Amino acid sequence: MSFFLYRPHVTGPSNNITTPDIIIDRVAIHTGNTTQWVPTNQLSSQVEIQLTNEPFESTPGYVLVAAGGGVLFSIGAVVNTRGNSLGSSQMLVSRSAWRFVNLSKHLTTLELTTYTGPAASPEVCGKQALCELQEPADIMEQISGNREALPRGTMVFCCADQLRYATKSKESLAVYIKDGTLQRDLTHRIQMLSTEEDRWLNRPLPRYTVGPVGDVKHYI
Amino acid sequence: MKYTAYAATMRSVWFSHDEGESWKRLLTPTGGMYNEARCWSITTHPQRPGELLVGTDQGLYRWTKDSNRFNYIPSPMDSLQILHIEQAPDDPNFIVCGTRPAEIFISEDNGLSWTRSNLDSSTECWFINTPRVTSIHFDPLDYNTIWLTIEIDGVYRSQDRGKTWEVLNDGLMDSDTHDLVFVDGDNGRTILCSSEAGLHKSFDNGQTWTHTPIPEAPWPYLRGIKERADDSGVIFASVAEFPSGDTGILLISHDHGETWKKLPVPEPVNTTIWSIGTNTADPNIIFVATLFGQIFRSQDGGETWKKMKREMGEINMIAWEPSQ
Repeated sequence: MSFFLYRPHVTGPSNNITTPDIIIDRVAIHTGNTTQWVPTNQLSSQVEIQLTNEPFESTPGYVLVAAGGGVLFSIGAVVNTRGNSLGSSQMLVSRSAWRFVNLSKHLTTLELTTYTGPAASPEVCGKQALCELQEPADIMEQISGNREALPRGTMVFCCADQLRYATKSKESLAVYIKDGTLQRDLTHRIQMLSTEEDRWLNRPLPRYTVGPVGDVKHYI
Repeated sequence: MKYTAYAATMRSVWFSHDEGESWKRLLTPTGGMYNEARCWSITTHPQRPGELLVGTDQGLYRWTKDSNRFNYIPSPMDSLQILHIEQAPDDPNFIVCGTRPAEIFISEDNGLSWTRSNLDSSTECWFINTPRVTSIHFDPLDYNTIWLTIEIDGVYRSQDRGKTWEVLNDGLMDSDTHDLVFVDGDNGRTILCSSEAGLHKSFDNGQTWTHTPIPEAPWPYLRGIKERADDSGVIFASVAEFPSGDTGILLISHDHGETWKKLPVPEPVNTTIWSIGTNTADPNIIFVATLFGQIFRSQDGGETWKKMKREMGEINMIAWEPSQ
């Protein structure tokens, strides 16, 4: 009964916002020509993750999410140690999302871009047009038999394999997509933190406070 | 009869041991639940006196009088808002929880294990974005049948204790449904459903609904609806301009919902009366609470009301049970 509570911030074409809370209990990663179901408990919308010092790969992509008002379109990345199975991947999905229905007619004009480095001075890592990836409608049809819908509770990561990036801890990775037709964009910036790094130079032991020690009346 | 009243608020659960005159909550250091936990639902069961189940935004909790603390019940609902809890009338170990997003979780072993029901409710709503469960009822004539109202998705029924569900929305003017009352008499069954659009009635066990405006109601918005805890035909209904408006009124029907009149609840009522608390231990004792924290008590079956001095920030549910 594992599930992830996805809390998207869905911007419509008229700049209207809806914020449904959606339970996700089926997640797939589409990479190459295969689709693999993976555990939901490695799914997250966090913008900071910890990595060990092993070599990691981040594969950005677009994300499709089943929703009652129509499939959501977002971006994210699949982060994995090199050579490990997809089932052990961390899947990071942006909370910012659009409706697929508002994109479907001009989807081929969209391009995914990845950046690294500080937000103020990012360096482009790579670009890939969405038309070079598996079409969302094909993925939906493969999963649900319907080219415009996904079964409830389903999320699919479609990896832009050309943009796979050897990620080092302490780096940041930003996945960016611009919708020129509707004049809007999505960015999901993920800060990679090293498990070896400690934000405390000299990490203190946890403290305990006992509260009132005298004859004090509790007001709570 | 001594009794304990409970109020589920945005800052934990409050207890009153003096008929609602004063209210206290447990201390965080010993109470087992953070004092500012957002609590939406409470339920008691006649076979479990001195035990309270509480649905919060931090999971499900059980308070017992003996322990006088809230004990956390592990469940898959920790990241959800547990808006309603019901225990089967014939088996308090059978627990049904309704959440936001609108899902149903069922435990048949007193909370040791949980099953997420295949409730195919709407996952999105234009109006409130995320649908939620607004009431759960075990059918008074058949405890294997469970009824739900979902805001905003209408009325659901399961005839196999939550394994499968059917939607019963035919005739509802508005699927923003809030609560149900079952009237079973010599002339068959009538189900009353409160909704944003007012009162609906069903005379065919939920297959169809008929919108039945209440002339005495100044606004259509109908929130809580509850039968007095006896078979007298007395039903209470709360009416307001909208969910969190400037005032609210309480209506009473003495004839199973055929006719209604306004009750003399002391004014000003600061917003919608959100919750009505009754108990079969004494049908004359009734608590109602407004969403913005007022508490009113009747000790004569709802004919007269007293406003309690204490007000809370927000009250989501109010209940009482005999003290042990």
